[in-house]
Amino acid sequence: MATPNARRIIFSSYVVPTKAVAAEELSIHHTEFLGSTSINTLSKTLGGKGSAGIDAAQWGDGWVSFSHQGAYWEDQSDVWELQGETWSGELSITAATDLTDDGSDLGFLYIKNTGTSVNAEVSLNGTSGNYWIIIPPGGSVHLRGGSTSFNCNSVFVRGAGGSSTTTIEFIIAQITP
Amino acid sequence: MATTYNVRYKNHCTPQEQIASGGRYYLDSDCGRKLTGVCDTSASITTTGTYDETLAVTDSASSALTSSHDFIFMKNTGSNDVLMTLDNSNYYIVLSEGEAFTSEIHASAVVKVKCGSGETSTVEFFVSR
Repeated sequence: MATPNARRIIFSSYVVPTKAVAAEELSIHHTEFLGSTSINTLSKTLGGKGSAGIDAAQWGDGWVSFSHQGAYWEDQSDVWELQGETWSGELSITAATDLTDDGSDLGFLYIKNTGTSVNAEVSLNGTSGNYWIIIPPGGSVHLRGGSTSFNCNSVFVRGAGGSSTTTIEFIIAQITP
Repeated sequence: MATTYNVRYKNHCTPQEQIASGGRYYLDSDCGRKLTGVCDTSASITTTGTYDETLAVTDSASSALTSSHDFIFMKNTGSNDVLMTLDNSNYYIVLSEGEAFTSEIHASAVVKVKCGSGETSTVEFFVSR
C-alpha cells in the first residue's frame, strides 16, 4: 500500500425537526418538516460541517471496515492482528468489541449501525467505560478526537446492553503523530 | 389522528486522499464511497427540548447541559476549539469552528463543554428527551 501525500475526512451533520401525522389507517404516518410553530423554539433545521486532517499513513488498512470496490486483494498490506473480522465490510457485534488494538491517538471516528432492529452503543473510554453514545438502526455518529489520552483502542462498541446483536461499518483513524 | 414530534438527523462523511503535494483530493481509495446514516429519534421536541443559539464557553467547564436527555446537537459557533465530554470528565471530543456533534445519548450522560486555556467560544446546542 503506497502512502498518499495526505488524508482528510470531510464531515457534516444535519438535524431536522419533524412532525409525523397518523393517517386514517393508523399504521401509516406522513412525516414532514415541523416548520414554524408556537409549541417550541426549534422551528428550523440545524447543521454543521468540518474537515478532519488524519494521518496519511494509517495504522493498517483496517482503519475502514470495508474496501474500495476496485481494490485488489493482493495489494492489501494490512495489520490483520489489530482489527476485527470485517470481511463483508460490516462487523457483527454483540458483546463489547474493540474496533482496533492500535493505541495511536484517535483523529476521527465514524460508526454506522447497519442493522435493522438493535441499537449500537459506543464507549469512548474502554470496555468497562460508559456506553453513552447510542446509534439506532440506520443511524450514524462521527466525532473528532481531541485528547492525547483518547486512543483508537479506547473505542468499544456493543449491541444494546451487550446481549443483542447488530452490525456496524466504521472508520477509526489515527491523527498525524 | 395522533401527531408526534421528533428529530430526524443525519451524519455524513467523505474520506479523501491527496496523491501528490499540492494536488487535488480524491475519494479515498481505501474507502471508495461516501458514508451517511439517517434515523428518527424517539425524542420529543415539544415538551422536553432545550435550544440555545449562543451559549458562551470559557476555559472552565460549563454546567451540565443535559439531564436525562436522549438526543444532543452541539455546534461550535465561535472561532476557538471547543472540547466536549459525555461523561462529565473525559473531554475527548473536539469541535472546531462550524463543526457539530449530533447523536442519541444515554439518559445518564452528562454533557459539558469548555475551551483550551485562556480561550473562549460560543456553541449552539439543542437537547431533548
